[in-house]
Amino acid sequence: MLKNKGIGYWMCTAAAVIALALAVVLFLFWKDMMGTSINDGYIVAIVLLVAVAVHVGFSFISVRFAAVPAVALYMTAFCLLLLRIADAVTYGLQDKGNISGGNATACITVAVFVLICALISVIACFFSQRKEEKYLI
Amino acid sequence: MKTNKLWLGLTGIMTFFLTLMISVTFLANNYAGYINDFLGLNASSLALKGSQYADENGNLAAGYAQMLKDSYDFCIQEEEEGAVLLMNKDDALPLKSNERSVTLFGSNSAHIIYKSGAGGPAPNGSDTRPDSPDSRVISMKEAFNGAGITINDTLYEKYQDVTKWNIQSSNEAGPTFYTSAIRNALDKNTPAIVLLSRFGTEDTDPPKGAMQISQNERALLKLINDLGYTKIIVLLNGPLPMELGWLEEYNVDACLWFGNPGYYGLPGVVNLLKGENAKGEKITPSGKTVETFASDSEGAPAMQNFGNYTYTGDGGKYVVYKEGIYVGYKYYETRYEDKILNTAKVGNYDYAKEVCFPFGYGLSYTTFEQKLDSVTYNASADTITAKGTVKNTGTIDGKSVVQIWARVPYTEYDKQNGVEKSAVQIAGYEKVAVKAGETVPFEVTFDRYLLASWDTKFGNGGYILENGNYYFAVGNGAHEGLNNILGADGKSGLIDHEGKTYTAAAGTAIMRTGAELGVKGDIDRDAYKYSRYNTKEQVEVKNEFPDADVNYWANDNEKVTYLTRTDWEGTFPTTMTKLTANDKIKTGLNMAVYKAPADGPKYKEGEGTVYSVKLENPIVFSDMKNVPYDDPKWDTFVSQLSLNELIVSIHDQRSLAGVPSIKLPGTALVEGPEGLSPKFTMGDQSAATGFPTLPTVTASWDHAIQTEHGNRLGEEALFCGVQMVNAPGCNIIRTARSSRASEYMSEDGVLSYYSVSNIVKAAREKGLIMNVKHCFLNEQETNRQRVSTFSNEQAIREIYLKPFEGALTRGHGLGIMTSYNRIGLQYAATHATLMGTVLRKEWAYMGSIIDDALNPDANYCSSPDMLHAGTDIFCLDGGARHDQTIKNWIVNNNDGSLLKDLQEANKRIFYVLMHSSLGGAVDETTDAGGGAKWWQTMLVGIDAGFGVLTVGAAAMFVTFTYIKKQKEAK
Repeated sequence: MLKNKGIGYWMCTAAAVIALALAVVLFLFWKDMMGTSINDGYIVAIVLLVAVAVHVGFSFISVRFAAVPAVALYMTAFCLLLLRIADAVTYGLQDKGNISGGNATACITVAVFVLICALISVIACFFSQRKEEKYLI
Repeated sequence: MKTNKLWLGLTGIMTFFLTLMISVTFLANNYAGYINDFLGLNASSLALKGSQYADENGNLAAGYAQMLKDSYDFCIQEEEEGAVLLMNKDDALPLKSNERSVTLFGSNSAHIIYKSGAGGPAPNGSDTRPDSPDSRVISMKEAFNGAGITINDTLYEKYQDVTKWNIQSSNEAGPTFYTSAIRNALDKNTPAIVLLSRFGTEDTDPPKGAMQISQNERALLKLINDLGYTKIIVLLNGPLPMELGWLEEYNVDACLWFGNPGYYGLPGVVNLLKGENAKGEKITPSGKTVETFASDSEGAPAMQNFGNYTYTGDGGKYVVYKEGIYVGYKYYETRYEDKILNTAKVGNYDYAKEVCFPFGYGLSYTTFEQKLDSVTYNASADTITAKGTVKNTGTIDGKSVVQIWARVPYTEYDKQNGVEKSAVQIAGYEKVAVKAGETVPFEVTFDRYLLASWDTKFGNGGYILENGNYYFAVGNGAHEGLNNILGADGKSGLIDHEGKTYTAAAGTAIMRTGAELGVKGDIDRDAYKYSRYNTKEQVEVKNEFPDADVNYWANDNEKVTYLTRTDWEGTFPTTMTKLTANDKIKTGLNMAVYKAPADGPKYKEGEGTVYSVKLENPIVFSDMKNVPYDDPKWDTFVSQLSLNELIVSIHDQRSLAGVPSIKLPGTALVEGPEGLSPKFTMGDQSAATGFPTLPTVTASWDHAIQTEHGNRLGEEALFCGVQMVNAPGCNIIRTARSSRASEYMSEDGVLSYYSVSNIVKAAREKGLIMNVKHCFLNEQETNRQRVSTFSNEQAIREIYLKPFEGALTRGHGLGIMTSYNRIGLQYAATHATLMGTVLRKEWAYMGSIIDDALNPDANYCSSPDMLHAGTDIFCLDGGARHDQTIKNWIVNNNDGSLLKDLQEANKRIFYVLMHSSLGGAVDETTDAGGGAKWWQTMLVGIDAGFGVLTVGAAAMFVTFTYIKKQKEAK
């Protein structure tokens, strides 16, 4: 399965590994991170896992454009994350107490890493998924 | 790079930016109100009517310059009328005509605390540093120079580099700052003006000891003495009462408190120092203190329970107001009286050592003699009128504050049944102008109701008046008023606040019996048994906050005894460091208790009949003008709205969005107690005026000044296109470290009652709805969110609720904000008794209630609980939104009952808006707008653009990868 994989694929793999780690962190700590006013922070982790699953799927089915869905999924996760961390981050940046809790530093860190996943996938778009340019699609 | 890879890469890039911009669009729309506020788009162009500056067509533009000038001039007048002269030995002030050069000491003279910064306008000018020529903010240097007085520029410029004050410290420059170069530049033959600052603001209380003079301040005063300055004047900047027992020690000749002057008020302070205003007219200080200046502020009863206390067995926080009614002067003066009366258990108490300057005290450059000639009761109006005269016995024209102090009977019944009575209380006041040598009459009328005391224990509890001797007196502050009463009562051994023997002058106090004041029987429980405001139904005024008393919850071994004058020594508050979170408390701390009633109406069944009703003749907002609150047309009007429309008006993000289907325009909802936060929508579009803060306004003890303050805010609101403001603050300055003091009025419930009602009424007459805040028991910033605040019913009724009562009744206010804290254990925004019974029934309140900005939280800020209890508007409704939470609740629980609550909330909001300047401006042609703002359209355009680019890049990739290759293969 991993034979003949190109640079683009390995870049997407690196992004997927980061995403998997982020998903685990989010599943475990989303409530502490985002504060008690957010009830569905786990959704971000789910989207990240979907991105990982799609990458695993593309490991078996070689397509030229495998990196593009990865970009879309990571950025979707980023969008969902932004909506849920905005309050924790703004309170944190103002150094104000927030009754709902939340950890601005953790939120920003996760958001940065999600962006990194997306950017890695963007760069991967410029590189081949396979050494030999033989794709199913 | 192969072309197809290039296009794939571009597809990836465009996908990245497309989804990024979609993220930004969603986020921005979620916070649309704040963005509109930042861009100045919330302002309504409809709020045009009612301004005194409008032309005959109601246009404001031509009057803008005059409005602004009048506001700035009023800032100066507020300082001239509100600054308090605490000490003035040998007529040190006003400065003599040959004293036109002074040495301005105090590093914060170059860093004035203009306002607390917690809620209000920004300074104006492209360069907002006060001494910048581009700034309109008036610095001390500019204020002095503008009055023709020079300061030591060398020293002032050096002070610019010193770190300014913060919440922890005044950061006064240390001794090493005063190098020989600086000392050599000083002129000891000029008056030394020493400015000392104390800062308080939202979110953090100053640390213990913050009101004490610091080592560096002592060093500075010593230096000034060592340098040989012969005239030393201290200026106090900030709302908090600094401990001033050191004034004599450092040979201070005069001391003037001026609070926070706002951005433009400092010339008023300097005018007072000079004794002359900009027109060359002689002026004299006339303000009176609004807080007691204690010698040891940390020793005050309230201070013993102020700060951070954690439940044992739970991480939650609490604070217990063990002092009961004995807040501020009520403690100091009552214990003094008991000392004079030689009451048992009064303990070792020396008033002169406890108090530097009493509540209500202030001097003038002239002297006045006040006489009280008569006190009469008007039974039909239930008012008491005190009449007398004021003689200006000095040589300067001036204004004299006539304060009517009252002492109500303290009976055996009270002692047996825990009805505490302050030795003296303020009943009413007026400020009169008196030319030198002249005598003018005064008349002060006040409600007899304000003399009633709360009896918690008898029956259901309630206000009482008792038979006995009621004394009324004039006096310069609470202490002199009390001394005049004690003198009239034949008591001896009286001392003033300096410890000197005091002899009450004849004609300064009058006694009236209870019968003369219409008191029926020994204890009149009927006078105020029922609400005096609700004309539609008879509402008994009774104990409503038994669970705000810690003894309701505490284990037997942790119950408290509130401070009582029957035993000062034994009940002086100790710090309640331990309160066990027993099972009752743990259960009580949970705020999410609302459940959809099983037999209640169902949401889904109500479509078309209860909500989303299609009327044959649709009703729009302008059709509701002049419709009374109880008219069923309001219900019909609201029934037209869908659920999505019903949640629009409860969602505040510095504005309430419009509802196009009923042609309701959007509303700006701004801050704050120190002036309006937005910019004007016309002229130079500068920021609204930063006025002197509320303690200074209240310290004028002048109904006219307080009223004009409200009028100015109302005018500025018209020029800003604003209908609602979260202001003024009505909490009590309970201790000398109550950090938001600049947003509040005073330590006394009745003085605050008068001041806030004057402001609110005047503002409302200009169409500005003021959400007075924070209701209630929010007197400390420490743990303000979620803290369980305990107090007894008597203190609640007589002190902490009194300003809010004034705002909504005497002031006819239509807006109120609940507080962050718990009242007892009940979060204020979920307190159905507060909102539904006290506000709506007792006070017959018809306005809207807004919470204090907190995100939805399952355990505390439960959205359905808040709405069901009576919260109408959710303040600063952020990312995790109350409006969406409520909508989801109603749909998911099929909850027609909460839908009904939502409709009621909308009705109140629309009613309030109709009585704002918005209502004055709308008519049948009003277009509610409601469309997307320009930035929203721009974002959608950018999204679409990136969408096109993404599709295009993808198409090119497909072309080069698949289509072209197929053609080549063929």
